[in-house]
Amino acid sequence: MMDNNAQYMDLFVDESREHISSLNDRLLELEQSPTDLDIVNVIFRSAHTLKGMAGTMGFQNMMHLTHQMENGLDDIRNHKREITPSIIDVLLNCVDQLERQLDQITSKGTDDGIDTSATLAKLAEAFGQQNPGGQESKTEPEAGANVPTLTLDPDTLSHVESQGKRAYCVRVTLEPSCSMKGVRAFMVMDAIGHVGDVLVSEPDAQQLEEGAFADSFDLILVTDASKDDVVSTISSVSEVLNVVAWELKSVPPTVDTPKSTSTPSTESPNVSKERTAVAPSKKTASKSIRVDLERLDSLMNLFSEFVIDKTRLEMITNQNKGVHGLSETVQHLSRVGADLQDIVMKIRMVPVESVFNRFPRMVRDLAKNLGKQVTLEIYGAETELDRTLIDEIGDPLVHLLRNSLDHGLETPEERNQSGKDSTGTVKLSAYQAGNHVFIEIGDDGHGINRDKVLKKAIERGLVDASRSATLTDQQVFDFLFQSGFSTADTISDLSGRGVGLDVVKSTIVSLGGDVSVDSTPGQGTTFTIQLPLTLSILQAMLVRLEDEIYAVPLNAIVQMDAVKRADVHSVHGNEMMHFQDRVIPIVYLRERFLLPSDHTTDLSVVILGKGDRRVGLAVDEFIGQQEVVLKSFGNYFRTSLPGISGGTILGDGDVALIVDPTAFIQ
Amino acid sequence: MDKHIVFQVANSKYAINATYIQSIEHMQKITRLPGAPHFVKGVMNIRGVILPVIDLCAQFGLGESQFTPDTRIIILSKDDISAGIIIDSTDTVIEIDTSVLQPFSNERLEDKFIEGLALTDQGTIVVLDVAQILGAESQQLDTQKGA
Repeated sequence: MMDNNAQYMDLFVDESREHISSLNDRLLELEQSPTDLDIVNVIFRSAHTLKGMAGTMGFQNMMHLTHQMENGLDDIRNHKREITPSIIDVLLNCVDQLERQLDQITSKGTDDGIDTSATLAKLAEAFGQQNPGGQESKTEPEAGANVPTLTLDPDTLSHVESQGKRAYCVRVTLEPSCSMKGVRAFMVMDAIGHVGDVLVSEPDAQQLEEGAFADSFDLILVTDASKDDVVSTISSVSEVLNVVAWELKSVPPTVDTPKSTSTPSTESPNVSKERTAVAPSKKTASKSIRVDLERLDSLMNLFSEFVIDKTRLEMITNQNKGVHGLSETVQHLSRVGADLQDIVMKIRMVPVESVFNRFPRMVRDLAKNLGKQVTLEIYGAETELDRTLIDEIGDPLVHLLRNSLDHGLETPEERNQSGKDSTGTVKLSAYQAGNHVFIEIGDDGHGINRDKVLKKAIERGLVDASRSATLTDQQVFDFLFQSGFSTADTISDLSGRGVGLDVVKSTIVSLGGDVSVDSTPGQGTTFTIQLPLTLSILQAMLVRLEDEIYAVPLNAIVQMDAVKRADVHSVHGNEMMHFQDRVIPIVYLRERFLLPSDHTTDLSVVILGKGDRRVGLAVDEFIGQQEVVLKSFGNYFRTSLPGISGGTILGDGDVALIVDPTAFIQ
Repeated sequence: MDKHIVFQVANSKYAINATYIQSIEHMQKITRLPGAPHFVKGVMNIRGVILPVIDLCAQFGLGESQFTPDTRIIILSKDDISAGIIIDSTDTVIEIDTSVLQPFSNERLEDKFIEGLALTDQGTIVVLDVAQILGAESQQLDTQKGA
């Protein structure tokens, strides 16, 4: 049993998280349409599944809590009680507790130590008298009669038969007491995998793995094995109650129900209803598997090694042009490497939805606390980002959303006075453009008060009062990201203590991205986060300083120039150069990196660009363009070093530092 | 009794609990890290992982290490933090009972790196506190901020 627990723990945690997340979402939906019993049913089923899983794993507290939720929900299902705001609050509170229990289980392996008594009391109060026996819920009636619901089209079927194989429609029924249905279904699929190939299943593989089905599921199996073998193989999986197999033949002799026409009607109506009800958020049913994150990471690491060696090989090839066939082989290797990189990167991409899905709940609670009315609109949740970025952007986004609610949006009274709808809107949208992903958080509040920000900036000595009038709005708003800067008049519980936006900025910058803010008085404020698609592998220009080699990310480079000393102008003590009809400042990388610099020679300048700002970065020499793998220095440094975003290993095994271009463009 | 690796830095004997030692490496190219604290020599490629390298001599306020053929890098790792330390030479491996270490206190700031003194048949050996050595960078930032 202990072995089983260890083996299923990850699955249990994953599945529970999904159910908890779904509970949150559905409860928020229910709050909007309190009479929709379909939603209640979905919530009920999630709670029921959680209860079963918790029970199997021996988490009594979690089981007890979900059991009580289930009882209350049952009353609603049976029209004994109506949904009230306080019931929603209590149920959301329960979900929070479940989440805490699950966290505790993840970290300590037990759900003890989370005090749920207050929640249980509130639950009992909201639902009035509880049925002490805790009436066991009935699972949904089984779909379909004793006929196969799945068929193959005649072409496929005859193809199968021409190979001397046979196709079966198999219905597997699990014991009603089986609580980890997903796990069992997975084991069944695994067992079948040894005797043949599964072509179709109803519900699909993903839902099967999630346990999103009643007690039985159907599948079509192509195999050499006999019907008896198939049945006995599946029956050997524990908690399988019953297995029925029908052989599918080109001219179906026994199957003549309306369902099995030659065009496959894969779903009977009540099955499809079940499906939409259980997993409404799954828009596309894709063929997918769960992969351990550690394996993904080690795949990435191995691939990084590959890229380093590939680069080294390219170097060797250039030095040994005479070797027959070497250069062709290396070229081919490079192409394969590029394709491989594409795939590895794609595997690591995760929809931002996994971060966004906790925000509706958070915004609702915050709005309640603040006494504001807010609608959160989410766009582009399907936009994908590298997994490492997903892990990091949660906190900055939470901060910006809180900021919008707390500072951006007005109270309903203020909104009415300025002729706006009393309900404010916060838009959270994600989209991809080029090699970047953008996430915008926009509100329709009162906007940022430019004068107030300026006043504060002058007070703090960030800008000279005489220069203030010449600053663009953009430059003024940028002060908000300075550390310790807050314009809030009152310090609230949430924000306004001057910590925050600077942390948001430094987090995003450390991810190779940037954050900016735009605002129109009276109409609202929008924060825009720009992130790179992937972190780890980038194109860079290698440059030399003395005997040191540095890598400058190519996406920040506008152009590279050789500049004659005579073309360097001194403006107000700063060295400047001409670039595309503009005069731009020159930064000596030597000085930034604490090496002596010479201000009399001609210069090799990398022109860096960010937005419409340009800076010329003077280096000793350009070495050439190369693909580099960004590696961190581990956790020894608590903050990043100015101007350096990490290191990379060059073909000869030496470490080259990667320059952080944003540090030079101010 | 815990196994400790004994090594020399600036003519003194130091020991570190072997639990925290990942490997002992020969000296190789160190890439300078502009802007890092003075005792961080730079970063080094340890089999595909880039790690900071600390000059223990400098960290203890005893000047800079002079590299010789005996110079080694000991890779330390504790609580997810890893770094290499430069030492003059490795000495031996001994068992030390850390529960009976003799306290060592002096007024110098660098003494925080010392867990205590072990009196062995090989003489007095300074047992180092790995957490302090690996945490020195962040503490330095704190004191800078505090100043």
